[in-house]
Amino acid sequence: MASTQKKAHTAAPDLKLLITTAAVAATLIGWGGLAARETVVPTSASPSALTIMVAELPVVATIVPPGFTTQNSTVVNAADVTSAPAMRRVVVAPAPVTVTRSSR
Amino acid sequence: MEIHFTAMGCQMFAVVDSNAEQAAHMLAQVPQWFTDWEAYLSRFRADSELSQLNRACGAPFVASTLLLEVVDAALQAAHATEGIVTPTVLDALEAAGYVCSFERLLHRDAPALQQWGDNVVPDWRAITLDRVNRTITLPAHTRLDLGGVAKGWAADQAIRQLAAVGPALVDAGGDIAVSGPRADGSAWAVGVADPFDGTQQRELLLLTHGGVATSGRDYRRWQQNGIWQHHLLDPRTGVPSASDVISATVVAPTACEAEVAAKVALLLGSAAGLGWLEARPTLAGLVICDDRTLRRSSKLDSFCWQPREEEDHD
Repeated sequence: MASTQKKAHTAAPDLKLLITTAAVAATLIGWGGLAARETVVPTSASPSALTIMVAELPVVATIVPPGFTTQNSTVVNAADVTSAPAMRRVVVAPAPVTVTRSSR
Repeated sequence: MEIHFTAMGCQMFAVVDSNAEQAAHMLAQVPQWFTDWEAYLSRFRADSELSQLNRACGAPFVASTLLLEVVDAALQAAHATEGIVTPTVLDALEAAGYVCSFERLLHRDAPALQQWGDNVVPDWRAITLDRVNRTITLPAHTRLDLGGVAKGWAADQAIRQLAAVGPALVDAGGDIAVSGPRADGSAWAVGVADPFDGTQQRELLLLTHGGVATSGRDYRRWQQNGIWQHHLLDPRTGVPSASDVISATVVAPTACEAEVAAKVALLLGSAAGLGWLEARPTLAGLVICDDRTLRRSSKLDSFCWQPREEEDHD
């Protein structure tokens, strides 16, 4: 009850609701649902080169209560959210054995 | 297996792609090789053979096979670069304050700027090297500094010996030689340091043969009469280079050639230096300028690591 009383006086409870909603979204979709970010999973290792799998995650709108939507809000099809991300293999730069520089 | 040590006033590194006992035994000898070579070639040691040669200027000096070979390499470099890289810069270097090893120079005041004659660097073509009689004759008032070729030469010598025990890389203070591909057939990855930030690299090179070297005025510099000097003398002016290049890196068939070519690229400046590299099919390089821009010669792409994707065959 004390928190409800505080709600009338400050913007903090609105922010708390948004954070809570975002946390739910993170749980449902994974952290990639909050921001478009690649997930790196090493698949092999060699002394000189490393190939990694890079997941290209789609941008997913954060789930927010109706009161927070705007005119430009995009309705996201649930199938897009749950489909498997595209994967691509990227060769990572090998670690240099040494570095050439002016003598020291 | 690898070994780190200090020699010729620089940090050195050698690695062999092998765990065999023979490789370990050979690697352990590398520091002594460099110590022995330095005893012949250092201008900072009064008892070195080079210093003895410099004191004999004007008279034929009977030289060891080693000194003959390195002086010959220096003269060949002068010929190939039309004197841009010449061993006859010792008087000019000392006039600019480089009178002792750099680690000592950091802890003392450089002597006052000396003016000598008209700052003309002696003509290297007046030096006589007689392989039959094994003599070197320096003209009067001509003394040599072999800093333009010595480390690259030493790296090449070391790699020839190490190659007998496995694929190897030798880094002689940034002048690097490789014996061939690594044990798994891949290339040696060599970073190119950012002269403005020692923790960063501007390029990643992949080498399976030859050498790479960097010439730069970002480290070996000191103040003399309140003016910054550095060790890369332009023989055309007799004073430290004022080109727009702060650091030049060149890939070449040997570390010695790379060392010489990197100096040329720096001394000539970015436009002329890259043009000089482009005109030589065995050389590839880059220059980093005062304004931090990086410019590459066209052939360097074949040595640069490129990000790529592999096709998914699943």
